[in-house]
Amino acid sequence: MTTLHPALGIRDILVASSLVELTGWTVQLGRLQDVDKSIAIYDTGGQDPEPALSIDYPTIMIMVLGTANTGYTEAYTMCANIKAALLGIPALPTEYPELNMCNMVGDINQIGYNDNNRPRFTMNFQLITSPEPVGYRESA
Amino acid sequence: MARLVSRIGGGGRGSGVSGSASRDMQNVVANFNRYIADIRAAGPEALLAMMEPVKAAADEMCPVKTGAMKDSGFLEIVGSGRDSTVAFGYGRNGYPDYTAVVHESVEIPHAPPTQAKWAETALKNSVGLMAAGFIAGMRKSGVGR
Repeated sequence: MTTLHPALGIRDILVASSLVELTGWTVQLGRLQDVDKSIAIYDTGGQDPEPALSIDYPTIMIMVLGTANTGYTEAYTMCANIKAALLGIPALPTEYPELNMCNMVGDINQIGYNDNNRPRFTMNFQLITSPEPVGYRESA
Repeated sequence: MARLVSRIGGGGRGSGVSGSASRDMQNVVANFNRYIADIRAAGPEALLAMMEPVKAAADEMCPVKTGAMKDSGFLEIVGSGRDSTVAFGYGRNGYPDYTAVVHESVEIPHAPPTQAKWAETALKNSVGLMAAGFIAGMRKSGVGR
């Protein structure tokens, strides 16, 4: 069985979203490619899952790199579009049917330029998901 | 925070209650407002007590090379009176300037138990315990006695 992990589900939402134009951008899971216009989505743990019901509270982080030296606004705009596509999304989207809610933790955060002068931003999201129960938990 | 105001007996025809019931209700309202005042007074200290184990856990997980980043950690009451809150974090005022980068760079390996996202992880790991810690802090301050 393939698990639909949060970073993958979020990537699929972004790929399908009309609010995010990913043409020309590289999107990877769990690893950031150090090139212009690069996005990485990380599974970053979360809060304690429910033991009896199949409800999880995972978190993800999205890191965005802009074009070296000049891409600050371009990268920020991508972050703003991602925020628009995820925050408050209606439950059970087609691309990630386990997703019930997507909250943002903090806001768009610039963490300086990397060693290759690419502007770098992070965004953190707290999800509520109800995966298909496997094991002892019951369906939510 | 809202203040409960007794409206008993203040309505239109037929809405009044007996004098005894009204006094009882006024006592309830007075006790409630005293309780709210106690919570306001004890709130910041209780929040601080609630967050102390979180800060300790975050310190354990904070990567150390020079120690400056770990030393930059803070947990304190900010403001006063009803506007007070508790602030927790690292790298205050941008020093050390690499703190946010190290915190968010999950691809950089660190020797266990240290890790990226140490402050965030400590908070997430403690959510279930924080309410209990807050209530304990309130009781320690005498609220509800």
